Amino acid sequence: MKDVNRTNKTLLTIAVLASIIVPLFIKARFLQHILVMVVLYAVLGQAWNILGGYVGLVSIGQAAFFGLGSYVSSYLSVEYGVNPWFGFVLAGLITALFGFLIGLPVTRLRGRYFAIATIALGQVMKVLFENWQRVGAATGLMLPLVKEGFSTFQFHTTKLPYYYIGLAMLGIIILFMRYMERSRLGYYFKAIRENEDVATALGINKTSYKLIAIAISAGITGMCGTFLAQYSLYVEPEYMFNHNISVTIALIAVFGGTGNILGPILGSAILLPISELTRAWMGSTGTGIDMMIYGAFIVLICVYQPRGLMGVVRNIQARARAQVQQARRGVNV
Amino acid sequence: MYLQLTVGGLLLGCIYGLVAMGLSLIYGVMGIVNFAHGAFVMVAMYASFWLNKFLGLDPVLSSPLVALLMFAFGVIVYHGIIGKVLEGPFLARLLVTFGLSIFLINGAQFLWSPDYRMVENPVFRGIKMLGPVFIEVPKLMASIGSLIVAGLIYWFVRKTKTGLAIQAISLDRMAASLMGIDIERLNGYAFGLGCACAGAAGGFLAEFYYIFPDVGTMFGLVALVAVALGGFGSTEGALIGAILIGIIETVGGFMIGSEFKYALVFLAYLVIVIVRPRGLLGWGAD
Repeated sequence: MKDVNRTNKTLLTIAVLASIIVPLFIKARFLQHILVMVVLYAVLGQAWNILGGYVGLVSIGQAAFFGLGSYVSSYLSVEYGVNPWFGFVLAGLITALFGFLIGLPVTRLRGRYFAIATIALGQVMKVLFENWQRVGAATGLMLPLVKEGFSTFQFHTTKLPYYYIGLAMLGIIILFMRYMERSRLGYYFKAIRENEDVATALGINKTSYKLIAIAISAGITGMCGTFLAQYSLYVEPEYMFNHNISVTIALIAVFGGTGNILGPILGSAILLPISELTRAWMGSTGTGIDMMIYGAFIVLICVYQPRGLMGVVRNIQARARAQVQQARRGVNV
Repeated sequence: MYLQLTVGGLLLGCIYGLVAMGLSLIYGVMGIVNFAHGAFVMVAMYASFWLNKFLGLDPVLSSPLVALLMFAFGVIVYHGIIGKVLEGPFLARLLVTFGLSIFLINGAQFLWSPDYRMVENPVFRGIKMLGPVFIEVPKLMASIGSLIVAGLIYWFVRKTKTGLAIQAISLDRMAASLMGIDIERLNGYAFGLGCACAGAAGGFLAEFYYIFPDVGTMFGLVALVAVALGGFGSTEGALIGAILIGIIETVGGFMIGSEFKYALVFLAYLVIVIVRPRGLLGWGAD
């Protein structure tokens, strides 16, 4: 077991160093864009994972939190000139509060009723923002161009700083989740996922833990919304509240594997480049063929890889362990 | 005025009801929430459109044919895709039809462009006075047709041997299989029937509604809400839920502005499932 731990640690160190150093050598803007999207969706996938993977509440309406977060910071920045970093934090707090309030009624629902409620929530938020004149209705808001720099959260010459900010977010959330996995909170979450009624019988207050999970998930997703707003420098309902964002987030989790830290990162690292590349190659034709491929891809994943990449990794590990044991038994005999 | 709106909502609700019944049937038998149901309606609408364009068939009159085509389409989709994920994890079962829907909608856009189309010279058109209310003839025909098809489905599921077998599966898969029911084959039929509902509804809608790749999305979502409202697995509940939604949409849309009507529909869903977490007539496990 010690060897396994050591190899895992080495692999982890290599992965962390590579994720920091390699991008420095990537100069093509489109490749930088893909990197930014990969880290952004890895964070979004992790936020989904806290709610869907650990507590078992499957959300297909994360765009509601994402869009809200993007609008909080953008509105404050456009209307009152508030620094986007302040907006970033505030977006997190407000969407967390929003998630909590929405969660009060919605977390009472189970399984598919919860999933459909989140879809409904996403649609309602989109319609509301499309008709809310104060925040620009369907046209949305354009963020003012200012001098680039860390303090203004705007970078024009290169996209790399966005990547590193996203990477930092991912790092923080991973540390948080490692802590969570070993804490009482994490065990309570898993207990609720495995069997709500038994968990309640054991004295876990399921309502409050579900609310904590949805608030954390919503808050992080809202901050990601601010991140994308600062990245694209405009917000509009069709873009920020797009249902495809919600589906993509859930898909990343399915593809990567849920209920563990590595899953969403793997899912995002593989899915996002594919989706961005097909969009770049074929999206401009406007024929919808890129989305067609994307749809077919979702179906294929669900049919042939429904337990996610982590499922495959686990199978391989289990097989390797069995072989080792067999070999040992052989020696003993 | 409100009478007029309620009648309008009722007519709309009957068509939603047909779509929702198909959805509920599929869910009841195999536990799949079919997010592609709206896309199936869209496919059926295009089928009606092309039948009209090339063979001169009127959409309402050709709807049995379209329903039959959609039945075949559904059976193929079941054996090609759905049947393979039935044993998979919850999330895969939930997302697979999302993928299918994205594929079909964008496939339609790829094949037929995002242009809005409309059937030329439909047989049923115009408006009739019926007592104090105006009624659009194509909508009336569509809702009558929907009710007939709904009745047929109801009869089929309750009275025929195949229908009883389908019911047996939805009650207890294992026991049904032990009684010698071929689950795979009947699941395929049930999925096909669900698609046929979407097909017939699409045919009726094509008579008076614009046809474009994204047209089904709202129908699908509204039907989903109707099914959840009525309680998953209950076909009657789906019909009642759908009629309720039709009325909420038209009357509520009139009161607070039509741009918010779908928001209102979803809000109604949230309120009702919070009060009754399993819908109006729902039963069984989650």
